[in-house]
Amino acid sequence: MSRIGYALALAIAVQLVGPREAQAYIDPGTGSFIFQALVAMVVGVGFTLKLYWNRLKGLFGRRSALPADATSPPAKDEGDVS
Amino acid sequence: MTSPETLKASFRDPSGFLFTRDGVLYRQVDERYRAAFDALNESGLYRGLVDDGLLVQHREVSTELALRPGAYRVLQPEPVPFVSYPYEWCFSQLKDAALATLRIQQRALERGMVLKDASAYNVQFCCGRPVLIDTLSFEPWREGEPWVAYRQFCQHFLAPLALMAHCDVRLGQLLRIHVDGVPLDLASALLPARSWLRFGLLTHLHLHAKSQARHADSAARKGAPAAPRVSRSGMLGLVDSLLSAVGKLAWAPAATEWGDYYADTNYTPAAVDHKLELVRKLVAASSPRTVWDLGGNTGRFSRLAVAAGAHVVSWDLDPAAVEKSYLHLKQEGPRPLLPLLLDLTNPSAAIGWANEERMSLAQRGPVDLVMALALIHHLAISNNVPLERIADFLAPLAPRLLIEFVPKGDSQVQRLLATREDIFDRYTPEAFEAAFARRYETVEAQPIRESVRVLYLLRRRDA
Repeated sequence: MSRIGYALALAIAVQLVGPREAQAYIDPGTGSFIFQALVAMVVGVGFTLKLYWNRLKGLFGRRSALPADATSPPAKDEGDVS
Repeated sequence: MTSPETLKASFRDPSGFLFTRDGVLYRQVDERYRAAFDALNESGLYRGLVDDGLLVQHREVSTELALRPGAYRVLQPEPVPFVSYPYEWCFSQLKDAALATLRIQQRALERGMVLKDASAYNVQFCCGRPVLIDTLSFEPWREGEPWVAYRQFCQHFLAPLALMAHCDVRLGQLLRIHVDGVPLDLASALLPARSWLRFGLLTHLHLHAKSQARHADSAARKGAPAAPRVSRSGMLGLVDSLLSAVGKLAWAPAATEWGDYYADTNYTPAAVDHKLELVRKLVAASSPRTVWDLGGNTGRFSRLAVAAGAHVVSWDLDPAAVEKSYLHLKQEGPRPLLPLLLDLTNPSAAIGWANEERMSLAQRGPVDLVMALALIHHLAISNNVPLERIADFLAPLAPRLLIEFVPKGDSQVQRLLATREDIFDRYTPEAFEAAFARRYETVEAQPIRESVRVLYLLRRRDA
């Protein structure tokens, strides 16, 4: 293997392999790590498309619907409990 | 002056820990967390989250107060009025805690940080809203790094919520047994077939569980695997996908036994009004700062204690009642009320490592006043608990007790006895008074107009 090829392979390997932040103390789970990358690729594309679609809609004056808010009151009117 | 000690639950995170000194709660931030802590402040993330009520506020105090060497900072967080646990929350409380966690993650990513854990125990309820209490949960994020807390989020939040929404709301109690959240393979096995048709649950629960199972042994066999890469859009997409999956989960309480309690009892309107008036008066007479309303149902009487200026925890057995109370609370606006789930015949026990991580019910007391309205017949008759044992259980919880005796003439008791043999010769007003006189003296005894029930305000004998 040429020296450049070797250096390239090493650079890629360093990106792919190797421990991450020392602060992460919980067990991420091997299967969860690998699976997440897969899911992220799929939903990442969808998310980016959604962003551009919302921006496009914004250009035409229609505000995109905001996702569910943790602090907003429930849609259903509970009324007074008696 | 008690000696300072670390909180029993605070030991997993090497970044720092909680401890008490002279009854005050502090958080020690260790040197190894220096860079992350500085980033948390300098990025504006801390301020932004606190201003929006998503993260607990703290003030920095002198590092001389540190409990152990190696402290970078010592914080004094604003204490939470009452510590509750995810297995005590109703469906919407757990859902709101999940949504808050994801929103916090989004905000963190906007400022180059990420949550390094996503435990439901990092969330507490203050004034009816979910708040993150673990200030050290944040760390800087570099694009490419996967979300370490993804598994934990799915187990602590998504799995139990999906089980509650799609199977049975009582499955939230699995969180009592599984201290690090519901295992994904268990959730996957229990969820109905239709859950496979929902993208969020299919992906983050079912397929996630399969991936976990497949790779369970791989580390041992092949050595440490390559850490996969997650781009920024991938990470944002992941969080957005989880928000959507959680957001779509809903539980509508069907009519349960206690849901229509007040419509269904023998209280005439005059009786209800008199009881409200009496409770208001008797609570005010005790001027409690903290109250537990046992069997509080939808919190109608708990709210009287709130109006009297107390912080009230309203406990009930019925998930539908707690849910209704919580949803009502969200509409009312912030107030010192916390509805929670509790089975008095099997109250929350001390669990976790060495049975010391999560406190039992009694360990989180005492309070100034316990209310036990329309409750005693469920314990004494439905659950065969002798009156003396009930008095002994209640006595350590508070120096004052507001209790309603429901005699056999009452239609609710008749309903309880309808399908069983009446072995309760010792369930009489006289026996009740004698049983409680062992532990309490009577401050007031007031019959409720147009009913056979009597309200007692009792003071514990040593108080």
